[in-house]
Amino acid sequence: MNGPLWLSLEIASIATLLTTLLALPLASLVSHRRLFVLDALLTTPLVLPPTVLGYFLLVVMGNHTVIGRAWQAVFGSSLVFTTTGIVFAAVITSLPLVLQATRAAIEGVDVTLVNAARTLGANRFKTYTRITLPLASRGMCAGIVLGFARALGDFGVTMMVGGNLPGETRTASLAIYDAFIADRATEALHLSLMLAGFSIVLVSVATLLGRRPHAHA
Amino acid sequence: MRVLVLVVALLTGCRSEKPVEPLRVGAASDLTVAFNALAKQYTASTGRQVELTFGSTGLLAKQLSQGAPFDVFAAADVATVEGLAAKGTCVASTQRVFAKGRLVVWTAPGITAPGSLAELADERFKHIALANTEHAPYGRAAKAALEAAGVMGNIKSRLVSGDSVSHALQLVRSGNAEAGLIARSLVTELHDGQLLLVDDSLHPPLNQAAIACGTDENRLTAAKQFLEVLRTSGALLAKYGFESADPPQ
Repeated sequence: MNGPLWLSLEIASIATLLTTLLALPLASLVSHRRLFVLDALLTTPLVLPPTVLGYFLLVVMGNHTVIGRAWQAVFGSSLVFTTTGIVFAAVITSLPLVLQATRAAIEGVDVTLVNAARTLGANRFKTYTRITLPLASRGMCAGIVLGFARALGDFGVTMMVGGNLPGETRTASLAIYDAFIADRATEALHLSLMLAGFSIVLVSVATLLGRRPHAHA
Repeated sequence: MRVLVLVVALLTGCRSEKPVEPLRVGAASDLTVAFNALAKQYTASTGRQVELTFGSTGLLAKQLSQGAPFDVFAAADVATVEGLAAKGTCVASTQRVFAKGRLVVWTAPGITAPGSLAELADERFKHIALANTEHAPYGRAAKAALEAAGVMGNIKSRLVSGDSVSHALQLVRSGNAEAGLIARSLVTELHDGQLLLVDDSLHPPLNQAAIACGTDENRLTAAKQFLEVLRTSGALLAKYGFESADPPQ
């Protein structure tokens, strides 16, 4: 019964790792160079219905399309009916949360501290890794946790392009849907409580991290 | 005086032509094409519009039992309708088996249809789509047929499931699955794929049943009219690939 839950956690973990790795360079890119179009493009999935993304994955990047074939040639796996596709969708939908949090956190770092490090002889890279990132880490982590929660809960894309394959694309949210319709009430309740529990914990962590560390009540 | 005229005009305006509320019909996905044609006939003869909602039989039944306001429910199996009648969600006396659906293998554009179910094991069928095997009757029938044909073991890892039989068809038509086990009623007007009719002794019959639901007298009357139109539409249903239902046992 917990197979789908583990699969959801696996998908969310891989997606979050990729999202975090992408968010770091992208945050600097979209904030420093004022690439507002790129910024907007990467943020749009936050408000895009999952069905739109599902449609694109199925019709534009499907197995028989040029993009779909190119993807298969490069990554050796198709996007439709595979965990890879669900991870890909999760990366796209959770990236805005991580990206925006990372960007805000980096922009919120006191410039005088960065300048001080530079005048004391630290190079750009050292300043970034030793001053900027540690100071921005709380805000970034809050975004990462929210991104993970978002990736954990996708239903629409997974339903449209997943094929409901046990162990591959049958995630917890799909299993809940199937259990509910097939009148397996206990299973639906069990999985729903687990997912709700995870979400509450994750959002609590994000809220806690999002508070200013030295703020007093 | 002017005020009086205005008031009279408003009152008569209010009283005249209260728009007839449309009939809400929830129907199994395999009825999509046929019911769109049927709804036109019904509207032409009664003047009442029809709002059609399609989905897997299991999903619609679940929604009905949770209070979805469908006046007519048409399912791709009899048991689901009987269940709703027994629970009192729908009106048992209106229950009627009106046709039998057929399962076919439908291929993606450019893919040659298999000569038999066993040929689905051929490697040109990398993905084979079917409807949900738990709550969609065509999914259950497909699973039963593949097992009866002895091919399930070979192709199990290639099966991908859509939520309903319409979703399964879409996975095939978009070229993502090379073949699918689909309702014949959905492909009678399509020309982009090839068809293999599945021997219906390999799976439980796909008898289609309909029933009126709800308590409002007016709506119930309209629902019964719709069921009557359905009863007399054998020719239309046959055109969309349905057969006469099996006689009750």
